[in-house]
Amino acid sequence: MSNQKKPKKEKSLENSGALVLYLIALGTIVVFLAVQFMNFFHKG
Amino acid sequence: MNKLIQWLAYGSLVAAFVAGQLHHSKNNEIHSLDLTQGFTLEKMGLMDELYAARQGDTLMGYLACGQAQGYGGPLEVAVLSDTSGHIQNMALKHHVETYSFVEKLKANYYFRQYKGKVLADSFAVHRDVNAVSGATISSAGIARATRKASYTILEKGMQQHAPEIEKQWRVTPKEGIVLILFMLGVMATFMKKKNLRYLTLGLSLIFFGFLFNASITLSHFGRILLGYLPDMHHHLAWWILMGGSLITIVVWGRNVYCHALCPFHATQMLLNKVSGINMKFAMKTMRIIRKIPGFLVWLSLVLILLSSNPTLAGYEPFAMLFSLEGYGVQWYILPAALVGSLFISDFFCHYLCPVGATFKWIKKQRREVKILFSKKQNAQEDEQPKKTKERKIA
Repeated sequence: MSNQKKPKKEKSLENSGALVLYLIALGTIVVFLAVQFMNFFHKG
Repeated sequence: MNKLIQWLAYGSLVAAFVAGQLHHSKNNEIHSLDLTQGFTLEKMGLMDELYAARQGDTLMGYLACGQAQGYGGPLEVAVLSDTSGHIQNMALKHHVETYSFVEKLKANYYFRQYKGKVLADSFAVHRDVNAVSGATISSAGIARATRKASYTILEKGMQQHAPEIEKQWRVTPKEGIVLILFMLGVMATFMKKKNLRYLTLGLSLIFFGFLFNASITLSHFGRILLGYLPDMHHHLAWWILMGGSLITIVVWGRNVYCHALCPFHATQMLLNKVSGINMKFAMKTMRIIRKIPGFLVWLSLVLILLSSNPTLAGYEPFAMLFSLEGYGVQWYILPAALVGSLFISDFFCHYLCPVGATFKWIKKQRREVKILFSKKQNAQEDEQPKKTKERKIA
């Protein structure tokens, strides 16, 4: 039973780790684009 | 619903393009330049931007504008001359060049060397004009734009003959290497040989990455959309790589660049091999994040079209990795992408890259056109036996 549960746990841990890495990278890109948009509209 | 979102996205891009063009023409006024202060400008030509510069009733000289392509897009200069045919002053009037290159030119006092030059000079880089190292393409672009403006003053202002400059192909070892690597990439994709693919990726990491910094970026597509195509004589490598990649996708349906030539793809493969870890997303998450690159491309293109500046929204970390050029928040994207690729195979390529997403979109359009054609053909084939049957009955 414990052997069956372990891979599932590991898998979900792996999935959430991947998602965290992805969200960090996506966050930096979104912030960069937001800054560029703000600069453009600010300069007019 | 998906179709509606798609058409809304296309519509917003068209609207951004129109707004960008209107905004660009509004902000391109000659009178706001410092070098025009103290002069009354009187427009001379209908087509050219040529002015007689007067102080009171006295003609002091002429002012003209010229444009040429730089690394990221067009560079437009204004040249003020005296009446004896010498440049009195010049200024960069408008540009959509990569920000760091223009800063390099300013820091090296590049523009000062034009003062006092004769209008009939050939303005050839390395001969009449000194280029700034690390911004050679921008230096050459400004020299060509200055030549255009100077010759306009000579021919249309002073009614003198301007020397004829023959367009010469700029063929250096770089162009040859780009062509050979591209052909190797095509072969690797066609023959499906893994080792050949690894070889081209390794070579592209060295040449396209560290030596030439010539990766395809979203700004390449932005330039095409805005009509800022670089001169083929001076930017042959750009045309080989970009033109070749587009042609192979449209004609053959294969993405040679991402598959066998992208230096950042090579970097990610190496990093992933080093760690030996390959984390995977949950299926549900995967379905959502597969759509994110398309959204990022749309967002970036809106900004590019609104600002008429193809380099403004480039979030790819390629230039940062290979030539350490970047600014502000851009510097956080590189470590985030590299750490991601250590643990997830092709992390940036599959889930964030705007170039891959754009090529994917082109491939999808190709497939749809193909399906449309085959449907029409099938319909025609179905109709033929019906007609022959009808004739027989008749």
